[in-house]
Amino acid sequence: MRGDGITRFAWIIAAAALLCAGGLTLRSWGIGREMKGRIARKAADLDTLRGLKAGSANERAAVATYEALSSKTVVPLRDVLSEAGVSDKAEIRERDARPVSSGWTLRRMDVIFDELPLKGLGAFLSVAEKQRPPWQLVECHITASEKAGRDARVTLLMETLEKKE
Amino acid sequence: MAESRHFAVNTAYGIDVSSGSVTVVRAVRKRKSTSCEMVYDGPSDTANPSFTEARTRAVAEFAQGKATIAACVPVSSSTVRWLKTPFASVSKSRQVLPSLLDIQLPFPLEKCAHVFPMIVPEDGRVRALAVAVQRESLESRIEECRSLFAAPVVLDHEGLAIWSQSHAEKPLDPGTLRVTACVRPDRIVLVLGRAEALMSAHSCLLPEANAPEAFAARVHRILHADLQGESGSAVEWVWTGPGADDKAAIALFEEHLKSERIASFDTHENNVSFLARAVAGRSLSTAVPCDLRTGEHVHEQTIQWRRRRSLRFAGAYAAAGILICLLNLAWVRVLENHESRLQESLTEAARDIYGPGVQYGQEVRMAREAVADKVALRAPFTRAFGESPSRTLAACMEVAAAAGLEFETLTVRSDALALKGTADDWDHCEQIKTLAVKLGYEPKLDREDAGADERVHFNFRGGRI
Repeated sequence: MRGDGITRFAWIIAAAALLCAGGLTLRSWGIGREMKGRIARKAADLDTLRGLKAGSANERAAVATYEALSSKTVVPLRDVLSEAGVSDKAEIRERDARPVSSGWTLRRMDVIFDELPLKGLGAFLSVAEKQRPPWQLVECHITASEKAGRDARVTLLMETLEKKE
Repeated sequence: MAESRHFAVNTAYGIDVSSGSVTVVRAVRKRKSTSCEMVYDGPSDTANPSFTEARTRAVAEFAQGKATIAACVPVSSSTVRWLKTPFASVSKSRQVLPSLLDIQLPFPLEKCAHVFPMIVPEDGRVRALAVAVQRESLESRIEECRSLFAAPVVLDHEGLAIWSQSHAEKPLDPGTLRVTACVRPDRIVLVLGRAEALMSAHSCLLPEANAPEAFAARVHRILHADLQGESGSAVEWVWTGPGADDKAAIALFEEHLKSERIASFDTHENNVSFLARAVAGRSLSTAVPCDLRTGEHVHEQTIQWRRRRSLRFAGAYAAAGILICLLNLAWVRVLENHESRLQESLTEAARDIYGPGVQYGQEVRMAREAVADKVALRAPFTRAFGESPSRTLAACMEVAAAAGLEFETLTVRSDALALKGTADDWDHCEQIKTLAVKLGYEPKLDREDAGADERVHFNFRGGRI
């Protein structure tokens, strides 16, 4: 009789343990599903933040490179034209100038050639980009000349960064 | 149904009591085999030191829970029947088997102890071997064993024990018929069967057995009745039991038994202890378990074993439940830790960009806001290190020169490329398209058939992908 009581008690314990196990499994399943969603969102957010941080580091490195230049004053485009040996009849107009990071100014210039041999255009751009700080091409529009030959009407938008010392 | 007790002990005392004499065998189950040792063979005499020693040893091992004691009910006081149910399901069949057995018995089922040691599905039905013994016979057998040696824990069936031991010691080929004849001091037990299972068991009284002609006639009647429809089947005859060592008597029997039906004769070895070995071995085995001590006659040791087994199962279930609970808690904890580590990294990364004062859940928004202002101011610097439109321009010029393209207009920006011109061949325009794809533009090329100037006019537009 006593043995039967012990056996019955053991089965009650076993049933209770299995019931708890079932309940906990259901609860864990619910919690786990919710947590997995949160973890996935946080992991994605962390990736985004790491991307932002890396982008920010690249930007800082770019600024640092400019800061390291020996001269922060830009060479006038007219001088660049002369150095490239192309038409000095180009029309140069300043489009805008606005301050950017760390005391630097972004300057954008329109350069218009009525007739320019395409070879000359390549030489001009090459010389412009070699300047320190460099002149960068932003936009280029070429229209073929009515006249025969390789000349064309060229409109360029150039930009550079400059810091007054 | 009787339960196997392979989980309980590894030692069993098999006792064979008959006409005041006792044969006791001690069987020990090892990993793959069971070894037997003859403990006693002789009359049940408490004055005999060997008998007393054997009984003391067996009772002591039994009392310590190290051994069990097994005996059997004789074929003469029990019934063996094969029953067939109309169901294919074993569980359904189990419910109707007692009713089917009741019809076959010459006495009420309520007055019997019965077991179904074999239940096998066959041809969409279920066949079951039923063993029954009247409770009175069972009680007197238990009492007989108790008075002659010790009360058995397991009470097997003599026919089943003889059959399985015969098959174990001299294995039968599938399909072969065998009669195992156990020659006992007061009777001969005949067990007929194939390798697959026992078919029937019969007991012949000794006066009949002592008259070879009458015995042979009885045997042939049994074979004729049991092997209906199997007229061509040859039967293998194997002698065993204490009387099997009497060569002269056996030779006389064989002479009368010889017929077309019985093809060969053979004899087992160690015939005195054959039945005791059989019951001892079977009580340790899981094959065809048969214990007629059921209901109110179940032995206390069996009850304890069952209780212990039940406790063990309950313990295993409880342990499994607790383990699952712990695993669940651990899993949630692991996830919580992972989330908290991730949150720490997130806060730290946001702090690096935004500075101190980052709010929980607002990390990305605050970092983006902090970066947005700087991005516009630093963009010209990063642009200076990016892909310059001048390279696109140079590449376009190079392709145009090589493919004989003539431009009317050409516009290059970092995010767009537009060309209008002519080519001297329809396919040459494709080259500018290939270049655009290479430079990362999504191309759209329109061409017109050659006109009066015999040139293909094209218009190309490409946006940065």
